[in-house]
Amino acid sequence: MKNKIFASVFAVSALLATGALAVDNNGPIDTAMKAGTLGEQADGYLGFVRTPTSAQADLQRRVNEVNIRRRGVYIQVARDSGETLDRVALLQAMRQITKAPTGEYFQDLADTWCVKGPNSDVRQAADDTIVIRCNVAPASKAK
Amino acid sequence: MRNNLLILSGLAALIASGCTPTVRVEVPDKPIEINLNINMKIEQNVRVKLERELDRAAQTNPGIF
Repeated sequence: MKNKIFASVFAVSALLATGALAVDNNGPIDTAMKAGTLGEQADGYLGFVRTPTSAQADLQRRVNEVNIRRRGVYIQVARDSGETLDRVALLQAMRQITKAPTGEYFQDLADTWCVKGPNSDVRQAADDTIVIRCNVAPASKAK
Repeated sequence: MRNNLLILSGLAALIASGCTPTVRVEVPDKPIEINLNINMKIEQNVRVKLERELDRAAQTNPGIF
């Protein structure tokens, strides 16, 4: 009985964990993220790593749709919490980039696209310091 | 004559070394850290509250995060 509960708790948490990584449940957006066509921007929205071609019009429509819905969420959370839209979106950008798997693209705070790797540094270092960096040399990361 | 040549070449070397550009581009040993300004302050208690609300929003809005 206890084992059964543990097993189901584990299954649910595993589901939540994998579900958290997928934006559209391995649909076109997730596929494009894995292919390096799309990435997480540092402003809390999805974006094209390179300017989209006319052949990517459908994908662009989907991205716009997700971003509009994200904006709605940020506005709602900002209103409920009394925070600014920018702060809410930035915090979510950091969370999205943190959970992005190795090899996917994200934008650092200088708006430069880069690939998530073992030397990427994404964290809140202090109340007023959010770090979203592509590559940090291991030596300087240690200190 | 030979001495003159030596002196001349020595002088030329001196002048040449004297003209070595002294402007050097130094590569910074520390990576450039981009910090957000103070307006972007997110205190820990605020962050905890926001994260909770964002988690809830993500659950009620599947497919966008």
